[in-house]
Amino acid sequence: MSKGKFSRSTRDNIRGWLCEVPWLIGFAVFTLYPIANTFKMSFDSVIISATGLVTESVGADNYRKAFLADVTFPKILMNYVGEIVLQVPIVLVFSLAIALILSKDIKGRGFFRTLFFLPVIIISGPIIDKFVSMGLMAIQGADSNSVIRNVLGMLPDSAAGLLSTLIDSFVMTLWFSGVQILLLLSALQKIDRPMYEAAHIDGASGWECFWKVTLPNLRNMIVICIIYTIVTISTFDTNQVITTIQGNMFQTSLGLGYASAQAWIYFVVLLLVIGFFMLLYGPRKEAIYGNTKAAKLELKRARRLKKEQERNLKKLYRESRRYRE
Amino acid sequence: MKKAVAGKLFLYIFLCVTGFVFLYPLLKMLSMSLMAPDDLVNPLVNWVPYGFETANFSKAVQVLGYGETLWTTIYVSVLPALLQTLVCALTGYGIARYRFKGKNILFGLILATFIIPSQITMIPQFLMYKNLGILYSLKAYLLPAVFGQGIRSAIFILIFVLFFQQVPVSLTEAAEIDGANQIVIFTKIAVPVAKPGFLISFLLSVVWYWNETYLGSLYFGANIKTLPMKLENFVETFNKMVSASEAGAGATANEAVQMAGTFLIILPLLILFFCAQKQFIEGIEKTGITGE
Repeated sequence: MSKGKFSRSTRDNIRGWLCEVPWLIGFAVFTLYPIANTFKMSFDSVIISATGLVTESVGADNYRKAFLADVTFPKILMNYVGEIVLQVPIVLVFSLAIALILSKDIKGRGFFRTLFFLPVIIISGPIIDKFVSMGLMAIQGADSNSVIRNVLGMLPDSAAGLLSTLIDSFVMTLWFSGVQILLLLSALQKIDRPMYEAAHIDGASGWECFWKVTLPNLRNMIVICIIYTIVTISTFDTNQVITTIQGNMFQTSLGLGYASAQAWIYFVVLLLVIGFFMLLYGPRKEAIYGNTKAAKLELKRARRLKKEQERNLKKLYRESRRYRE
Repeated sequence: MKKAVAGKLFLYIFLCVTGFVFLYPLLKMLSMSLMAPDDLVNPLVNWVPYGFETANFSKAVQVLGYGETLWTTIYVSVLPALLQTLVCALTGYGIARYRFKGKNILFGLILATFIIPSQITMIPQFLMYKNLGILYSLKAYLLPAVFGQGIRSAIFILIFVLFFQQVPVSLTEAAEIDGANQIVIFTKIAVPVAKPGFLISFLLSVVWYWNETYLGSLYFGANIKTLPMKLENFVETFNKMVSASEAGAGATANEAVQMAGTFLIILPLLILFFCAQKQFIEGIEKTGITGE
């Protein structure tokens, strides 16, 4: 070994970067270059022909076409945005509810954890397609439910369509929560017990504890879950936007250039969706109970108070016994 | 006290109902896959068919070319998963163990790649593989995996960083003083500590490659068909086979046969899951506990 030749920090620098070499090469070749290339191609007309690629610069035509001439693409994109804005909260609230329940002292905890994780293993485009087409993913009875039908009838067409696809694939939406449940469950286990006790002594109810202790402590994990949910749903095989993009790649009338422009538009929309949710509920420094200086003092005071109370109780108990005797 | 019992009861009911909703498609699939054509249209038959129509399964096995396709699917998912796990382990190890300049920026970059959809990289990649002559072969999966750009590599690197951070520094320092070189430290100290990380990464990677059909159909074309890819045109294949054989004239790929096929496709995954459920669940929970 080259001990003594280099200082420790130099050695660490070399070794560290050596470990990253494969990833760096891969990143440059399979991620960075393709992204740039897709961007470049989005301003060209690229068509696969028998002799090879025929490339011709067309300026921003592809983008103009995607938004103005293409009848379906903007609609599909809007549908996607609408769906994801509804699906993400559903997945989050559901995973949080299940994680909260499973964090309690519940019989069959292991069984339910396994059960809710199961879809993660089997979820794939063709299988979901089959299940949805056979109506197995719908909220049962929702189609024949008169209340739901009336509500759908009153809404404008686009909103009604959105809601009915959501109903038809409701179970599928829930199926996306397997990983999130486990992550939230482990984050819940990490919250300090004394924090709850302190809040309890201060007279907080279970409901208040959830909002003031549990939720702020889970914030980072929830943010991770939001991003995970958005990305998994957005890149899932049955997503209409991405199937359209792949379909357009091999159409001679549209070609790779147009598909590239669509891919870029999709990427930007995806980033906007993530940005939207981060504005709504992003990582933010807030006074987590127990994390600020004042709160820590409070916690200490609460612990002392509790001990004092216990001592008083014991004293009272002893006195009462003496009295009885 | 009464309130607490009622609350508990409510929680159990809620869990059971949602659990049933979760399982409903799978249970229905199982029940439908055993139905004869008469049972499918009979409104009286909801869950339990009159007889078990096992012919559905033999038909589905034929349509899928089950034995052969199963092997294809296994190596299409296991090989890239293996490579991906090893490379992600190395990348994660570098970040967790060494202090080098630009480490935090690099780690941030790695995590950021998670949100890059494959749609934006697939077109140039497709052309690249075509030029390299590896399109329509498994190499189109293996090559990115070797360089840490497989399916959701960012997650696996994150898992490895978290697990390798658990390796006690005092232990590696002691080994260094004893004269162990970096490779020995990696294989003898770090790998055993991060064993659950390896397991969960490999398992998830296999599952995700198994279920990937979007990139698969683009990169493999008609050359390699995995089980889920065959499900996509199950009905067409079935019809083709029926018209070719003449013997089964009038037979249609009814829902029962399709469900039997679907069941056969997820069966290996179910078996894998029930053998390794502990590793799956604990792996992810440990990941969640060790860091955010």
